[in-house]
Amino acid sequence: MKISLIGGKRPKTAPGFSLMEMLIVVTLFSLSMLIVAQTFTSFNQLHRKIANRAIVSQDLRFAMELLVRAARNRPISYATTPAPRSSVLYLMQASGVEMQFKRSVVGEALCADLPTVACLLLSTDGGTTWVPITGKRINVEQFDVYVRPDVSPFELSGGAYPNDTQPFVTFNIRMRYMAERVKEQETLQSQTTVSSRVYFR
Amino acid sequence: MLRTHRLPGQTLIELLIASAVIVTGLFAASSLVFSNLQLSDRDADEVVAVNLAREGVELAKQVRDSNWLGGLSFDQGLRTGTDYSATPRWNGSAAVQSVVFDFTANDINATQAIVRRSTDLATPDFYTQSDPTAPVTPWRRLVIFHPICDTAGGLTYLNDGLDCGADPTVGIRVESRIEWLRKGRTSVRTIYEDLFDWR
Repeated sequence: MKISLIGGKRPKTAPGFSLMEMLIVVTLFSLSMLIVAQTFTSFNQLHRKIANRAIVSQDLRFAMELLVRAARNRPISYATTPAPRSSVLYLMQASGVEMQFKRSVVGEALCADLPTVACLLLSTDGGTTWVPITGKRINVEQFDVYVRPDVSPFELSGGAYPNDTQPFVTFNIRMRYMAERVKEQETLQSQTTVSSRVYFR
Repeated sequence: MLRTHRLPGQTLIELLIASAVIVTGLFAASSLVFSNLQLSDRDADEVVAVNLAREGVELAKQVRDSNWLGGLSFDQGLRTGTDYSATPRWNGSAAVQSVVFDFTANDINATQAIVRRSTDLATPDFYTQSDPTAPVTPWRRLVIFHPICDTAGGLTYLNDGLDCGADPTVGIRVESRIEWLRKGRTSVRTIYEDLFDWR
């Protein structure tokens, strides 16, 4: 190819691209790269959201099953009158020591988690020691326990039983996966009820 | 500007094929992502649905057990004549100390079958079917108490409108059905449990 070094006119037959062609190509390429990058980013974000949702769903399922099993097989402790709505569940173990489930305060050291997280705690020694039962970055935003009846139907009072209602407990739990980006955080709320299988009468 | 015919480059067909390959790849990747998202939605919904369905069964069990404590017939409150389709009246309120079933609903499309979410400060976000003022959720629940009759041919399970007659009713098959609508698609989950009068 013959190259002119003195800025002379290019021969009409010389191959190459004009400035306009180059500009158009660069613009189109940049645009397509931008679209691809955006798509990649949003797909990545979506994937993380899905993964976070799977984690929160798994944790909620686990916690709910643990609570249901505990409340089904152990009698409710009426040592203190249950509040209409509480964030602590008191059950009685065969050993005579209470089993308790409660929502921690936000950032509680027992959770060993982020300072913005409240976890679900379990104690099998009457509230002396606690262990978290929810995973890392799972923030228990709501843990409501509804115990009914509020007086034990199994304990005589004045020679008679105070009521004929089999104890049952309703749990309403909302959990959030605390991803670093708020957009990737996922929340799940569920409610279930369990009727006690303890028959003292 | 003129260009010679001998210049190398892509023909239109080549360009079209390349574009088609890229578009197909992107389409496949995006459909994977979106179906993953759809399945994840479904998984989260199933957690809620199964728990609500279990609640229906457990509340029925609670009524049976309370009947035992009160010395009543085990199925009292779990039928009205031969109407066995009901919705639980349980809203978490402090005034409510036991469960009652409402037999107004005859199918899952009835108003009473709509599961609502309480906005009451005493029962925040409580899923209830007995507060008509609470905001609706996509969930619907109907609990059907099929009587189990002990007939000469074995156990039979009845539907609404039928009665065991002379045969003894030995139990109830609780059918707790949850239905929900997500992006125009209706899903159903049902839990069955047989409750017998074993005491």
